Amino acid sequence: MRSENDSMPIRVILVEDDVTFQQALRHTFSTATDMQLVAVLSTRAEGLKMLNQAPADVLLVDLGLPDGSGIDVIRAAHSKWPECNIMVSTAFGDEMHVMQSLEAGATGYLLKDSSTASIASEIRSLHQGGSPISPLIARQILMRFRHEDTSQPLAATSPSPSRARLSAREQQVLEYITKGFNSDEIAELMGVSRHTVLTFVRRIYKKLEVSSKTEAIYEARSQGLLGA
Amino acid sequence: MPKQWPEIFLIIALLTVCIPAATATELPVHITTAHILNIPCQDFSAPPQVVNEQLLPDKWSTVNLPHALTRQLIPSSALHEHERTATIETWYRLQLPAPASETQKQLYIPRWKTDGNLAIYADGQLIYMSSGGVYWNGWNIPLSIPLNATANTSSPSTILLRIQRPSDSGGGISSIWVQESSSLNWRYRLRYLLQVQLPYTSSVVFLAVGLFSFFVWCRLRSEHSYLLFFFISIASFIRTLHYYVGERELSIAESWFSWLTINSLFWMVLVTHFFLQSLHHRPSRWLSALVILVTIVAGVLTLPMLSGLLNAYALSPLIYFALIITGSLVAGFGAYKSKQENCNDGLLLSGWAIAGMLLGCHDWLLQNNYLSIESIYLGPYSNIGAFLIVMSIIYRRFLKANESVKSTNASLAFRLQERENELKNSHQRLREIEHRQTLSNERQRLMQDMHDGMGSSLIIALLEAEKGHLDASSLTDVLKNCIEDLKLTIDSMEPVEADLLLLMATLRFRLTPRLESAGIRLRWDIQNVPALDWLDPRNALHILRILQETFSNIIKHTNATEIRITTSSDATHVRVIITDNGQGFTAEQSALFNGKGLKNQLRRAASIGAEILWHSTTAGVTVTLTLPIVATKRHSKSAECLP
Repeated sequence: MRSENDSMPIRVILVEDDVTFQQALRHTFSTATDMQLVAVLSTRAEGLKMLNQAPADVLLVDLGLPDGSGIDVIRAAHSKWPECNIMVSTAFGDEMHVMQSLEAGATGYLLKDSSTASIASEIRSLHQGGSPISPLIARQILMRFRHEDTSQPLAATSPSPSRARLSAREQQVLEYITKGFNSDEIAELMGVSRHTVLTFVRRIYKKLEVSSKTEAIYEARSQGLLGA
Repeated sequence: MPKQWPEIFLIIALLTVCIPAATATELPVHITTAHILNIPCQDFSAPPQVVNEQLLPDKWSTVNLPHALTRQLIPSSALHEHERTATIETWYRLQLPAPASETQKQLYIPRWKTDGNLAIYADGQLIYMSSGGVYWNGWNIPLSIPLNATANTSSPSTILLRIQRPSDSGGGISSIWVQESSSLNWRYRLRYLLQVQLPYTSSVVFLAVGLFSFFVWCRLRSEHSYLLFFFISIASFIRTLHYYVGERELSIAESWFSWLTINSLFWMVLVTHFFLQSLHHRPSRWLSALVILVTIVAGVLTLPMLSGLLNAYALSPLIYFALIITGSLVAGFGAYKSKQENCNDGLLLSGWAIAGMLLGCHDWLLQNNYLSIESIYLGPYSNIGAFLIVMSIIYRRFLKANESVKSTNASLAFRLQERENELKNSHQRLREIEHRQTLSNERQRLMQDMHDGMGSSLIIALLEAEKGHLDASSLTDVLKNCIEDLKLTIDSMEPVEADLLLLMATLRFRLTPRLESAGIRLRWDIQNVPALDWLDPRNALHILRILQETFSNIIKHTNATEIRITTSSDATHVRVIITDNGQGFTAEQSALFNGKGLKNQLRRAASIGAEILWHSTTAGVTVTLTLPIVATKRHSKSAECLP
């Protein structure tokens, strides 16, 4: 079976207290040979402790852990395992939390009610550098960066290196997404490959994370919490 | 004692005012004896230019200065026998000691007091004559006359004073000083200040305060005491003219001027009476009547027209006597009532009136030569007292008004704050009601939606399952549909900000897995459309449901392999067109229109003012949803009443 895929299987760690979802994921992994569920942890504390060990390829984190928020795990993982793709598992209609997770360093998200097949394909896509995005999240990211532009009119003439901003292409991708085009259609409209579109999204997520970090520093500076 | 106190006063004043005068080189000569000669005559004659003392009758007698010529209190009946006025020419002769030096000398007469006129001769030569009328001749104005100011004149040795007066008037002359001009200066100036300038300025100030009071009254018509005070000040001003006017001839008839100055005192008493009553609020009818009566009688008796019958001049001592009695009554009664009523202002003013009466007595005695004529008339000084009293009353009223404004402001601020709080509370309540209304509307919307969609699906599934008709795949479908319904409901709550495409994008994002599993390809041929400002969550859900139903129908009832979605817009409407490549529906299938799904779509479209049209061919079905760009009345109304 593994002969189909020469590379090493994708090593996945799950931090999730919902037993049903744990089972659903185990089921997914039992059929997908190119992925390996390395560990399943059910609390924030265990999740943070696990970060001291060898990094996984994909970390799947639930936000509502019994002893705290999964955001902490995401943030810690992002700094300790920079190569790891972090994915937040979420119930639908939870765009606020998805945004927070993206800002904390996640690069993908998984809807808990997804089918086994789509869970597997999302994990694979993430591992290959693509990131999923919904129109509502695209819209929120666009608004976030637009808001920053208007709040700093001087930055438009002299772009500050410390503050991330969207390139024209990235912005275009987001606008297409808010209009309902899928990644294939966007690739065609922009004359690039589907993979490129997915990596655009990944870059956008990274910028969102950087932007939120600089925003925090900027905030801290303006409030005098940090020396200039 | 009465003779000396003005001098004591002068000395005290001197110490404070005129210290430089102490540098006198030659002692002043104070003349306290003189010779007097009275010559009865008829009418007034102008004083001669030169007088030869030898030609005057040698009936001189020696008198001490100051010397008073007592007057008759009861006018003599002989007065009216002739048309001519009986007059007396009184001569005073003063012998001056030989001067120590030939420096320039001044003759200083603190007061000469008489009706008629005065002429002064130095060694027989006229050096001064009064220029006023018979009654108003400047009798209260001290004189300072240069003796040897002209060229080549030496200090005279004899001074003659000629006073021509009506026979029944009194008169008199003060002691006389002769001194170098510089050393006399301060005596003269101080007396001038006390007799002329001070009464003059104080009455003017008093009048100014009265005017102020009048202006206050103009704004506060109910406060009569301000007006009364204004009248007092006018009466007082007129009265005080008495003391400093007359150095030159008057511009109005002397008799009328006398009438004014005498009656002004009665007016003062009258107005003071009413002022006091307004202070202590215990009016007395009989006293008011008496004061009015006395005032009127005095006014009539002293009318110049009646001088043929009654001599106002001669009557004045009696009139003044009546005045003092009335004034004392008013003052005493006012003080008594004010004390009863605990009215401090009233007491103060009555005190002033009593003091004024005492001063009046003094002046009356002085007027009638019972006191040394060197005394100073004190009546004018009561102005100063009145001025201070009224200032203090106004001052306290001002402070009180200020206080009350402050407390009013404080209470206003307090009430304003209360109102503000009330407003805030009612606003808060309104917001709560509004909030509850919104929640209730939203709850109703969601309930309606669940009842129409997920709820009915679950109930149907439950019934089927109970009958044992439900297999696993049907169950999966039902649950998938329910979850999809739920997702759309939640999506509808995301703010899409009038962006129809974002709403459609969200729908596509949700439906993609189902379409993919049904093997249907989606062609997304959309174009930008204008913003729909009416796209709130409620309306968004209607659109989502209409489109969802359309997709469901295609998946369930056609064998389509492709769905094409396009959007277009014109000036007023946005169209969403969904075309499938299925077999379309036949006439029998049109019965579907009676089905719940299509009915719901029509109803939902109607409730947002939209229109939905189906066009079926054998090549497929085209569903056109036409949405208004601007909300129509119909939809905003009907949105309220979903079945």
